[in-house]
Amino acid sequence: MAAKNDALIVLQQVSRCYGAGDSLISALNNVDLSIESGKTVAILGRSGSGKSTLLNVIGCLDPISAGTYQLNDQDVSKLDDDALSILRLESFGFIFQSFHLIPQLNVLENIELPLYYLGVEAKLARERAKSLAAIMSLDDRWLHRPAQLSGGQQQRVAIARALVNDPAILLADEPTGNLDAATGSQILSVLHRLADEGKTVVTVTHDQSVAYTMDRRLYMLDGRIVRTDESRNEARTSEINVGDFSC
Amino acid sequence: MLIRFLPSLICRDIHLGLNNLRLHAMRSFLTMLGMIFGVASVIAMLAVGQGASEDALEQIRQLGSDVIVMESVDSVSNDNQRQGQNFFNVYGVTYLDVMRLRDTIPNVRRIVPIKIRYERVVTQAQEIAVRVVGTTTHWFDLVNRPLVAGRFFTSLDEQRHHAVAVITERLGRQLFPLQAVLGNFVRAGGNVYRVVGVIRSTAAASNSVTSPARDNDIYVPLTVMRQCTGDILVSRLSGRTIREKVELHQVFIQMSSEAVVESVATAIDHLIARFHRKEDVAIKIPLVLLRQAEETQRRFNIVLGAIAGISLLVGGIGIMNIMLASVTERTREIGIRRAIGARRHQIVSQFLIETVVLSCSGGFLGCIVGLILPWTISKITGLSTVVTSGSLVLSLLISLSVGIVFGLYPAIRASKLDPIAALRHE
Repeated sequence: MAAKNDALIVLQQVSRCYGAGDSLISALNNVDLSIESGKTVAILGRSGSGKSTLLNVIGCLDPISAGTYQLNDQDVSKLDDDALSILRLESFGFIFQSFHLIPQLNVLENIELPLYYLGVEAKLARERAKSLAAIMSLDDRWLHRPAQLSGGQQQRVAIARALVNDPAILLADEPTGNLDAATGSQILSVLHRLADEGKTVVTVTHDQSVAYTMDRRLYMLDGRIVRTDESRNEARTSEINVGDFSC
Repeated sequence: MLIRFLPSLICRDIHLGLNNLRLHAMRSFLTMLGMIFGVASVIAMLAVGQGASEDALEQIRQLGSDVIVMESVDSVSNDNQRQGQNFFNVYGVTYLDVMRLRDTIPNVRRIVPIKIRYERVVTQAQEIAVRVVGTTTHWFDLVNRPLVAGRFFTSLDEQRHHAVAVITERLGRQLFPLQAVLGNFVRAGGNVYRVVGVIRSTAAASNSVTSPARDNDIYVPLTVMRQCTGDILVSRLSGRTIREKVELHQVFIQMSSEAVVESVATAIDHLIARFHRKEDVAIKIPLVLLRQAEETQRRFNIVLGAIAGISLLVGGIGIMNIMLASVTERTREIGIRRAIGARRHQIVSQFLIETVVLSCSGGFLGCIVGLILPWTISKITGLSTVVTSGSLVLSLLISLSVGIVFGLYPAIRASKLDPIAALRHE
């Protein structure tokens, strides 16, 4: 494992509990994790194992109940709501399984949304959105609304939106979950290209074939990371019992 | 940086707000209906109120606020007194009173005495009821009524007792439909006058006692009238003989400035009280009447405004209702925005601007309806209505504040949503 000061994301003894009293549910349980800049990480585990919560905690969407979370040597757990919002805005790009595009906005407006909250001038934002739409091969769909796009196209819009503010970390929650295999692999190759450009990619997935393209795989069970696997591609044939971790 | 881009941010929010309204065009319109009718009723009610008062106020204003009016009042209240065969009712302002006023009251600009007789003028075709007004040439300075043809009578006419008359335009048309009016003669009250001038009729005849302007008027020099008809009026009414002596019916006293009107009125009151045993002279001050009328009007407006305000309130509640529904409906959108990095106040401002856009569009449409409504009311009922620019501005300001007040709660509720729960919301 790399030295701590090289790590971009460092979680120490992090817990996340919901509810209170007797109905206290612990979604994350003393998780230790450290992710270096430029790495790709897959989080695997069955439903309810805490993968999404871990992703939300990393993405500063979910506050932690105990432990410390350091992002770029900054203690995130002490920040207030506004500061966390700014952190999300500047450091993270989110890609969701169900795309989460805003239905009443067209493709370009959806892509430039983060720039809008950053306060970027409308004209610049529009140019940036157009160039990203072009990279994602959405040039002919600028003015379409999400409902008029296919699943793969919607996911490409979502990726463009996640990239528009040039974040250091991309967080993807089952990015290929709603897509067919061919489209899924397209999206995956986009993620890899971004990783090659130096972005840190953390993705939650059920799909072993997706997971094995990543630098590191974290296997989760009941809110804990039970296993870490660092080999890439060649580990495809390892003896891990896949069945344990698929739904 | 935020300050610099704020205008463009607000523009985009307004654009987004309009977009959302367009997406749910029917719903937005129905929501706005409350505002539209609220604003329209505010404007219409104020217009009707304003129109009603303007007529009354205009008549008082015509006389000028620097005028005091003295009127002769028949002080005999007991009817038994009148029964006596030889009862002779003497009352009212006398020529002597006018002389005393002229000599004692300072700051007087002009005093215009008026003597009125109701007569019938017989023409070849008809009999016309007219009012013969004996006065001085100053009357024409006091009451600004434009000359249509000829001239006013002058002080020379008064001094030399020329039997000349100035008549209203309408009366002229009735008396001499096919002849030249000027130079023609009119017989009224046993005297013949030569018409030297025609003045414009007032548009609306009013029952206001302070208004000397009527439609069938013949204005003649007071000196001539006094000489020809005297001050005693004897009339027979259903077997009874009524004898009255009234020297002057009205006296208009115009002051040099508005400020002295009320103090001088008190002085006149004392002066009159000293020389009259009965209370047969009433002193009326248009300035005070004007104030009273304005006060009445103000109360009237408050009541109307309050009623209309309630309808605006109802409209506002309707908007809040829809915005709350909209927040629930768009929970996922709020979650997405928060996940992307929108701060709470940015969510608040987005929803607030949407509500304000909604209410202001309603307000704007309401103004249009509010302009049409009074017009329709005037057309149908004949009431005069006046839409003031103030009421339009007021309505727009109210709709803006309704948007802010009723938009704040849904907006704050939207911003307080937990981003993760909001994202999961279906």
